[in-house]
Amino acid sequence: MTKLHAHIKGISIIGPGLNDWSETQRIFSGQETWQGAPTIIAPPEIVSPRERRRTSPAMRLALNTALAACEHANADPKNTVSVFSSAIGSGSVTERIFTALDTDLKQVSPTDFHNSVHNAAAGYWSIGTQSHTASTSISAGDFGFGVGLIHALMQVALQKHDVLLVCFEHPFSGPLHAARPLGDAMGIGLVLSTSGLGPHITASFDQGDQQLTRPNHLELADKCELNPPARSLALLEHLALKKTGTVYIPHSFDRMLKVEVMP
Amino acid sequence: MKNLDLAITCFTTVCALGTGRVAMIKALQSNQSGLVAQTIPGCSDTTYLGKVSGLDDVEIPQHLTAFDCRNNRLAEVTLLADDFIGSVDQAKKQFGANRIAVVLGTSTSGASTGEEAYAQQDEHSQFPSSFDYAHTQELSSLSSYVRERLGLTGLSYTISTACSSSTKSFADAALLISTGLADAVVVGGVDTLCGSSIRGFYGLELLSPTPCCPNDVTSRGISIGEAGGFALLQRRNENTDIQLLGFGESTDAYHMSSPHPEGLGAEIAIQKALEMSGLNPNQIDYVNLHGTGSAANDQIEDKVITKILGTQVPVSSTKGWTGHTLGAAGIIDSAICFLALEHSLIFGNLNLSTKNPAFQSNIVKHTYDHPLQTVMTNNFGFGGNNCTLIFGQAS
Repeated sequence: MTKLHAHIKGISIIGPGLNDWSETQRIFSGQETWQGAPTIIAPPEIVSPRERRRTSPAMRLALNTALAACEHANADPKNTVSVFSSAIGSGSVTERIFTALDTDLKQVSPTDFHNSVHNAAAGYWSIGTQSHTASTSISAGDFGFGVGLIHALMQVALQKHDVLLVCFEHPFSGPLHAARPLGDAMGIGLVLSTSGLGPHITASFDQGDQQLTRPNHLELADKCELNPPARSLALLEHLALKKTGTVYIPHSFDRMLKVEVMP
Repeated sequence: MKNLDLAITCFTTVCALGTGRVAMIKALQSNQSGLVAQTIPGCSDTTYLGKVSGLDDVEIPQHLTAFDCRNNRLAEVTLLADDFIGSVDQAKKQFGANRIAVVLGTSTSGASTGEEAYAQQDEHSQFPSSFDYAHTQELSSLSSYVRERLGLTGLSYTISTACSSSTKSFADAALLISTGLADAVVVGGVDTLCGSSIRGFYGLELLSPTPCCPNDVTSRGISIGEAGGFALLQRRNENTDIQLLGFGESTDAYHMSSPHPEGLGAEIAIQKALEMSGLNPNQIDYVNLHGTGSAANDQIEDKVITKILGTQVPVSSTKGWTGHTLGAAGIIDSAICFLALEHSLIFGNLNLSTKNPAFQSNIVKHTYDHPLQTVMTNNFGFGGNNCTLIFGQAS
């Protein structure tokens, strides 16, 4: 059975009460108490002020998550393949376009339209970093982290590049929120590599009937339950605590990815 | 990656040219365009669209009605065409349902269902109770529907990178089979017309008021269309006819909706695909252009093709037949390449009367017979996302 391997060169996280990876490590280890404040998303430094104004909250979340992971890995985005995984992309853009279409004139703003593509965050990332490397944008519903991780691991195995995985989700703020609740905004970034000193993961399809592994920090897990990137929390907890172990992450409603972690 | 050793064992399409491969080749051979005039919603201007007829009457199987939307209806019709389901069933017997993955491209999935729900909100901003966002509008709805419909249990996901979405599904299939995570992959994509895409391109002043005529001196923009297409990729065997020889992916790092002025991203994608295929530029026998009809984009593609492949290789845009089918453009253009290989035909550039004098490449005006060994297809999407594929006859 196929096993995919990678070293984790860099980690980033932005979520409710989780402002960066070092704070999150302290929360997982109990050195700091998790407060669960709403997710803070700073203006994205990686794009020019002109483009910054055009970015949606979801894009800002993705861009900041991407940059923090690359900085933590000391990775050059110009040599890093990227994969962005999100169920809904930019909900605010979708809602603005639908609102416009629900008027008599149906005028869709050109900026909203080009921002409506699912790979908009990836596009701004490429522009901001001046990177021409391959970039894929995935939608796998609630299974975005598991699927994104598989895609990234395949790229590491075959293309021998460092790979940036960004799994992000920013909930709708208008009426679509009720139709597709997604919890608090959250972004998870990993830089994966064939080599390095960082922790090592081995992933394979699980043949049994395992359930999603939840982190020991249950309060955090409960708060983030609806958010697809939060399905990485048990893996991140292992990495934060430098713990050896196995975590299960769903890649579809009936199948699991088994991830063995070696710190 | 080198020596992909991957074959296309079956494929099918449904687009404005009709249902299935026979309808497509007939329309291509008889120069019958699928584009029809339509008034743009919310104004009195006219554009031409490549619409698929009959989708309102399509029935989604009983156990999957949660997925019912225009996009999944087109997926359903496409799965039924050319007995694609039968071919997948055979592969299931050979490999097992858990060894077949589904990777599909779409740019808007079931967005028209969301648009309708918005129009039907009550005074409390409540949607009709029948509205199911995750099963219809969400991009992953397409790949989930096809996985369920085909009774597969392998990995499934949607790639959504605008107009290179379904093109990139071939690249992901190569990764899945090469790593051993799958033995076969259903690739392709489905994209259907919706208010967002029509009014979005209209807002960018990109929609042509006449049927699109890419590469023509009079070109006034693009005609958009809808389409579904699937192909089954697996390891090459003695029965296969068409191989995937290479793919190349890149990003422009320039602008969200305008291509790099020198075509740098496109150039990288083409060079990478050539490198993977092990072919020299002069070994490419035909190029199916992205060629949307946007004069600026067509000129840049012409520049890049000329720079890498020279001015002799026959090239054409087939968007005059199908319209630009956005997230499905990759699978539709690939299917046209498969038909070119199968029928030994180099397709012309429908609606071309006077080639833009600034263009240097060998743009083919009329379809002609010619044996082909290798073909290339390009797709370039918003966000500066590019993908090139090279296919060849199995040797």
